[in-house]
Amino acid sequence: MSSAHPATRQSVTLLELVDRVLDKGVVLSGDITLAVADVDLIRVELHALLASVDRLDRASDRRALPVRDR
Amino acid sequence: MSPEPTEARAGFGVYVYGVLPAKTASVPPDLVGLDDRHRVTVCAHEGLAAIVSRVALDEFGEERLRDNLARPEWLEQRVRGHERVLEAFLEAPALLPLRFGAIFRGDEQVQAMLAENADAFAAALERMRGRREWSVKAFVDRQALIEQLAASGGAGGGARGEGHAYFARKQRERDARERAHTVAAALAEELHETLAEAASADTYLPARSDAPDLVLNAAYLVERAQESSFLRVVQEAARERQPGGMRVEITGPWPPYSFVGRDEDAP
Repeated sequence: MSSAHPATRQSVTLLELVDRVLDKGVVLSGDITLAVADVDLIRVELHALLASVDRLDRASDRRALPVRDR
Repeated sequence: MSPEPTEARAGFGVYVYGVLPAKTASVPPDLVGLDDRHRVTVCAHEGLAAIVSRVALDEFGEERLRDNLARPEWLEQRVRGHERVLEAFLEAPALLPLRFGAIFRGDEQVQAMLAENADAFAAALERMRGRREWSVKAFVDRQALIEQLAASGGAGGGARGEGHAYFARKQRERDARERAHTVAAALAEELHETLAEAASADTYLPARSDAPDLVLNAAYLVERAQESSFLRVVQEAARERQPGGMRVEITGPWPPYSFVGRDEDAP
């Protein structure tokens, strides 16, 4: 089983990134920010993104790292 | 109104990736930001450091950002960039990943943000100290499970004519579909419990209505010293379940995105 970091591998699907980078993580708000990517807006855009993710996933035949006997 | 920061006057904003203790913040020398142009640096205030890079306002300014978010290929590239930068800090003793898309007017504003949130950041960094996130997904071929359950439901009805047999078969398929749902949920929950026991914290991530075979989508926060034993637990669990038709995937380590959101603020 590899323990390479996610972004250095081709194997990580965009879905896993979306689940985390867009949907989780510390959220900052307040007047001092210049711009915070609007989470509600992102949720809308997420549908468009995931629609394209599905195409990518199918095209790449799921390259996520499977756990197998080695 | 404070004067316009130098960065904003020059057409730049400051993108923030994450926060970590200042004394552990060492930046790889040639690390570039999510725009693939500007170098990553840290912006420190007292004991805390923000991982930052300059971004052009004609790409990341409020209006442009909104437009760009609507472009899936832009979003994918920048989301991957955000993650790539944070992964350069995975060896730090503690790391708080920010959600994608926090842009400040200048370094001063970033420092003000660190000051304003100092206590919450310190507490969250303490919770994350020495821990990283692992992603586990489990898949069950739902159709195969349904067929298996339907076949084991008994032959039934053969002697009473073809029409009757047809309806009996349909009924068996319906029952099998319902049972498959229950069986898959139980398999997922049981796997989750096994893995959660080997982790410091755990959380479910969203299911996908368009991916019915994905029965478990979860994140586990694991002590670094326990990572190899956690991986063994996953591997063992996967091996045991393989004959039953379950496929398990693990990725990581990740910055602990799934454990630093607002919901996790409670102790």
